[in-house]
Amino acid sequence: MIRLDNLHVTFNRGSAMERKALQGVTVNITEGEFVCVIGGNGAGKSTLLNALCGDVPLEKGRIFIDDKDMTPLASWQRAAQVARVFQDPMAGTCANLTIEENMALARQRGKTRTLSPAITNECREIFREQLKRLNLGLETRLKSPIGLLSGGQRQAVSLLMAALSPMKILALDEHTAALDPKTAAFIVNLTREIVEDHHLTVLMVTHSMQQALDLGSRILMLQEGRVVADIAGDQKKGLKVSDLLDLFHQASGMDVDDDSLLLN
Amino acid sequence: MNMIQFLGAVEMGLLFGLVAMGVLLSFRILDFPDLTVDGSYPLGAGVCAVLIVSGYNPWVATLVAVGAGMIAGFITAWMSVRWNVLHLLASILTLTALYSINLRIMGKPNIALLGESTVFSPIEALPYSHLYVMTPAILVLVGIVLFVLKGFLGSQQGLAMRATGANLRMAEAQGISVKTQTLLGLSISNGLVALAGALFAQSQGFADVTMGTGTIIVGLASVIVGEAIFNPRIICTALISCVIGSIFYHLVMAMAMNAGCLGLQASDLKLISAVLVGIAMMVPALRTKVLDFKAARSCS
Repeated sequence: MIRLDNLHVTFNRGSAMERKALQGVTVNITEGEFVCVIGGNGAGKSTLLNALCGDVPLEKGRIFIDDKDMTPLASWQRAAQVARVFQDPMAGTCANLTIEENMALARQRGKTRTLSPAITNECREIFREQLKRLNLGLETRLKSPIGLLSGGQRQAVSLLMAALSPMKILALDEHTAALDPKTAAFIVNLTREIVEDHHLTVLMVTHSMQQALDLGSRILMLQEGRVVADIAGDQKKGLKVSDLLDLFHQASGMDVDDDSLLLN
Repeated sequence: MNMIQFLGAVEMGLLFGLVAMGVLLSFRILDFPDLTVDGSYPLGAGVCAVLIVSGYNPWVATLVAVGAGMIAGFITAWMSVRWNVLHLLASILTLTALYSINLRIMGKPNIALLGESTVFSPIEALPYSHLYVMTPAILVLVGIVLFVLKGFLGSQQGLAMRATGANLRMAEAQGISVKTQTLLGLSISNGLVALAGALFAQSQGFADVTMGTGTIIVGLASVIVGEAIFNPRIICTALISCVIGSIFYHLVMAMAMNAGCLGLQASDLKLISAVLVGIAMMVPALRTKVLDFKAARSCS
């Protein structure tokens, strides 16, 4: 169980640029939930995710994973519990390391790294097996630098990498936003498969309401750093994009002028 | 160029191959421009020379010298990761301090090791010319270091270090502490450079406080020349190519200095060095240009 308790984050505190990104967000995520976070630009979606990962310092509030207080831990110290896939396909992998080296790095995520060889035949077999499911022919290119792959391919490998080591929660930060629609659909399907196979708990930030409805078991709508809607279970069944838009109107009291909210 | 000059250049090339591997580790693998090297090279030589003159076993002296170099690298890394001092500035601070420290350690600007027992003494006792046994002996030493370093960089720990320099965010997301990796990496890097200094002192028979000047340029030149020649993609070739780059660099320098027709003198050394490094740095751009030209021709 992941508890985000009364999170407050303010950027540029005390300056003219001061911006309250999170103003008291409280969310409890139970095991196996697929939580999608939606909202307009600057609503605090990414800040919420970055706070969970330890990239932004909290002004107030605490983060617990299985009753362990994660608040004082730096991002690298949370890696054993939190796996992530970034928006930028280039960010999640090391371009000049090979595919197998990248995967070997991910396999040891949050574990002690020893002086034993990073890549063994045994783990190579695991990598090949994992890469086969992508149907991209990458299983024959283990020794190619990952920088030679396209953005979509790199994102697919990033997803596989995240699932190579156990975790408490998978943090997806608009991981299809930088891809073309066809590739994005491929990554969405892959995400669904991997999450189901490994029974993962997920916190996904997305711009696309359709994607949130398709993938999520629970939808959080943020507005100005606050949770304005939290839809799960029976409430979520039969929900359409238009319903979400209505909800967004009610919550924000303004018309949607942001096309990105409608993007599928 | 005669045989003596040739072997002399190869010997220096091999010794500086150790420096080049250290520079590869800091500049390329960790992406940390570390100038501490200019101080840790004479530090290694000085510590080793003082200990040998005081009667310590030369192997012990060499090991202590490596340890001293590692401490120097650690201090630079510590200033950078712990106190956010700009990496270049942190290394310059350490390098400046090391000049005084080296003088303190050595007690005088120059220590001669003639007649002292060194790690090369058993080899020099062989009934062959000094020149013909020294180069193979250093080749073996550098080979061992290269082998160990290759093993390290291929380990889980070494891979973490390579990820740190290549993609900081990714490394942290995989649970790698960037601070720890930087501290460890710079320590190893400067340990290697101090080893080169210690071996230089023992093979050439002296240590001098000013001998470090320009070490970083030679080390960086070796890395760049090696890259220009081999364009290495994997870590093993990167290590080998920087050693060969170092040998190549020293051979070119020796050739330039010994070609009487060019009319060059010892004071032109730095100029030739800069020109050589400059040319090597243009190679990647030239390579793409040639490839583009070829592609354009095959299209039309």
